[in-house]
Amino acid sequence: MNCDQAREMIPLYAARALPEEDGAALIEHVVGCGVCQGELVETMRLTHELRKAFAQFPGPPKGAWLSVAARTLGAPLLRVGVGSEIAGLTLDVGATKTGVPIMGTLSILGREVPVLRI
Amino acid sequence: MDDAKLVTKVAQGDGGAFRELYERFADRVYRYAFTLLRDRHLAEDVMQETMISVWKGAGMFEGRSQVSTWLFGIARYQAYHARRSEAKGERLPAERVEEPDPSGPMEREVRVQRAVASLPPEQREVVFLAFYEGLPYEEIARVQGVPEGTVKSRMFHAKRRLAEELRP
Ligand SMILES: [Zn+2]
Repeated sequence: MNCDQAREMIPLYAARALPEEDGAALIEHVVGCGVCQGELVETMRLTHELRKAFAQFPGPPKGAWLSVAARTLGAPLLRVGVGSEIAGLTLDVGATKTGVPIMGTLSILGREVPVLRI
Repeated sequence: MDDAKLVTKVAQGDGGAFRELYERFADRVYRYAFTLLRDRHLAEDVMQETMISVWKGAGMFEGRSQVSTWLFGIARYQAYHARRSEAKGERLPAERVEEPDPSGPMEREVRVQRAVASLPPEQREVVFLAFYEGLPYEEIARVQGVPEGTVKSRMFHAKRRLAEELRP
């Protein structure tokens, strides 16, 4: 391996994206080459700092899954239950691309009967 | 279960598998979109549209690349559209990322973030995919739709620029 090849591999090695045998070959070169050694140390340091920088931004908002689910699985955004276990009414408020459908189910003694669809 | 298997289940309409795929990738896709667009609202839109495309098109995944590469490819396409719709004024201008105050004490972390933000978009993308995601050049080239040599050159320039900006 020459220095140019080593330079190409160093960022990947630092990012742990280099296949093991290439990594071994790289280290073999680096051990005997002061210039690439410096480059490797510098890149490892940079990698650590960059990972931290990218990780620092806040991730997606918690509620994002609900919108995705509503537009894919059709899962309800909101479930409202009224009544008791013996007899009650459940309203599922969903969301699709075309609107906000509401479905109502009346349950009597565990049996569910759809009563409403808007 | 590995990622590719999960995608197969999603293709069969398995909602639980889709939820799991979302848990594994939503955050990563969001951060990638944010790296491209530097706008939180657009990044969220792109993430959501990407996941919805995955639900609809999971059957199109051929397993020739990593699942993450496939997802980033879709997100990249969505980001391109988001940027275009915004340019055409189809959505309200969103809040921009606050630039750190350069007159304040320059913490090292702030300097790193600023240096990343100042890179040209394609270089910033390579830096994210390589250093944060650990994707090999070959996979980055697939995401960006360019030859591997172009990715290497972008990496070279990005590293040189970062090193200059971050010199103590
Ligand atoms: Zn060398």
